[in-house]
Amino acid sequence: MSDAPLIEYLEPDQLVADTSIPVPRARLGRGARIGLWALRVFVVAVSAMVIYTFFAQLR
Amino acid sequence: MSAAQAGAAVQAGTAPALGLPALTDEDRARSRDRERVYDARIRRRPWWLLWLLIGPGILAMLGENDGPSMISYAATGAQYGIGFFVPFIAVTFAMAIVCQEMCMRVGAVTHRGYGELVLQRYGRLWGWFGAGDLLFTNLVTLIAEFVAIRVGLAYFHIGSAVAAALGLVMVTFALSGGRYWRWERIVLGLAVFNGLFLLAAVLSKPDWGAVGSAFVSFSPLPHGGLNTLLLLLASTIGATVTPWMIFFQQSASADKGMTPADIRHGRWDTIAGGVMAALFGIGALIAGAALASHGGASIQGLAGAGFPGALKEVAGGPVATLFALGLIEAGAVAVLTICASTAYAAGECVGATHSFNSTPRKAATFHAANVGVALIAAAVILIPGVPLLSIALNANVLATVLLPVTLIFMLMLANDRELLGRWANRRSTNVIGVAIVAFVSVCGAAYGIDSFLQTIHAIPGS
Repeated sequence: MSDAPLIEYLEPDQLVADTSIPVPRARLGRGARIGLWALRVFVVAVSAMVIYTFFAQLR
Repeated sequence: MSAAQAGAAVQAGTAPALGLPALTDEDRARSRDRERVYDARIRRRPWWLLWLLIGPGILAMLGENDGPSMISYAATGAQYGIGFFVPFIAVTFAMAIVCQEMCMRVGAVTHRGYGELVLQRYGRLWGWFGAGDLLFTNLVTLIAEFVAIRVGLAYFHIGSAVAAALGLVMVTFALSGGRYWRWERIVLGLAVFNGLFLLAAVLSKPDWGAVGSAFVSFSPLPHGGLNTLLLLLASTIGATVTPWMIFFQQSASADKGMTPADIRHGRWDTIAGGVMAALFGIGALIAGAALASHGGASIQGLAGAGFPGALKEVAGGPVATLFALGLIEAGAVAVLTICASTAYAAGECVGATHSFNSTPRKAATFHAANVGVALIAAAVILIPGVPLLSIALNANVLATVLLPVTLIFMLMLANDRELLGRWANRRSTNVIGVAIVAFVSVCGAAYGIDSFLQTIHAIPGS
């Protein structure tokens, strides 16, 4: 079967050929970059607490 | 044509011989689904159109009404009654609707999953962190889902091996056929039975006046200290808004082939899912509350493995049977949707094909992750002596404290005008979204810190 009729039902940017091309990296402002660093600190701190809690409860 | 030349042709979006964009099998399957949507639109068949476009929202919401969540709601009802929690469950699902609508919109506009967008827009660190966090919490949650199926089956005197086999057979069966549409409809058909919890609530003959007044007054508040209240709030939030839902709904919306023209229906799908999930979750709470004056305080979370049996003594055989069947359904639907979210995340992060519309040969990573994660979880529940309760509770803590990370990136994506253009968040959506993220972050962080401080005996246990 020809692909011609099928392609009419998809948007061009919906095709695998298009979605397999990565989108460009976001340009972040200073505030956003600081916010993401704060998020890193938050993640490391709370993850350490939860992992410690988990192993402490296993003992 | 060499693989490199073929790749270049695909990158350019053209198949030289035909002058048409190169279609993959995934494109062809998706375009057949889109043809039906197009047909329903031009023939002005609104209900048929709605039927075609529902799915990801309902599945994300009812998938989150999973086995551990329903046991948690019922245990909360048994311990504290319905007072505060009936309206609070409704509020948390309203928050979930706001979050899930954003994922659906981003998926419909960009045709890409959450994992790949975070990885490509904000870097490998956050992309892999999100996927790693999801993989770990999904694996542990899946173990809890298999436990919930086992609890439901145990009421009918059926053992763990059947629970493990049942989950694996369903994952494999739903995957077979190589079509997103088929997978979605199988899971939707199963998810309808989440309504058994509401039926169980009605048959338990609750005081409907008290239910109505709880909705208005948010009272009585649960007894206990601030720590107890904090833990209950965080665990209820953790049972309603989770990272896997965000990964799942965005990826499923893209895999379904939704476009900006479908966003209105996507919103109805999300709202319908949220309303049903809130009703059924409240049903589990009310059914569990039947135990409140019969030693219900001793039944907590997954430790309440004898929940259906306990209900039988107090509310009768039909309520207990419905509750047990509901647990099997809740666990089964969650196994299917959580495995799907893991598979989407795995495929998106390694840059491999990630679609139910692809065959196992063409999307090996996707299918292997889908079945593999279920296989590992099923195997764990068969190991004697594994501390399942501790694993499940701590996974819930970790998922809740790390939830703000997922929500923040979801908000950033939904505000990304380069990607979404006019479909980016409006100011009013942002005000609500930021309030939700702040509320969840405070509760989640407090939950994690509270658990830690209790463990090191800095504060008394609640």
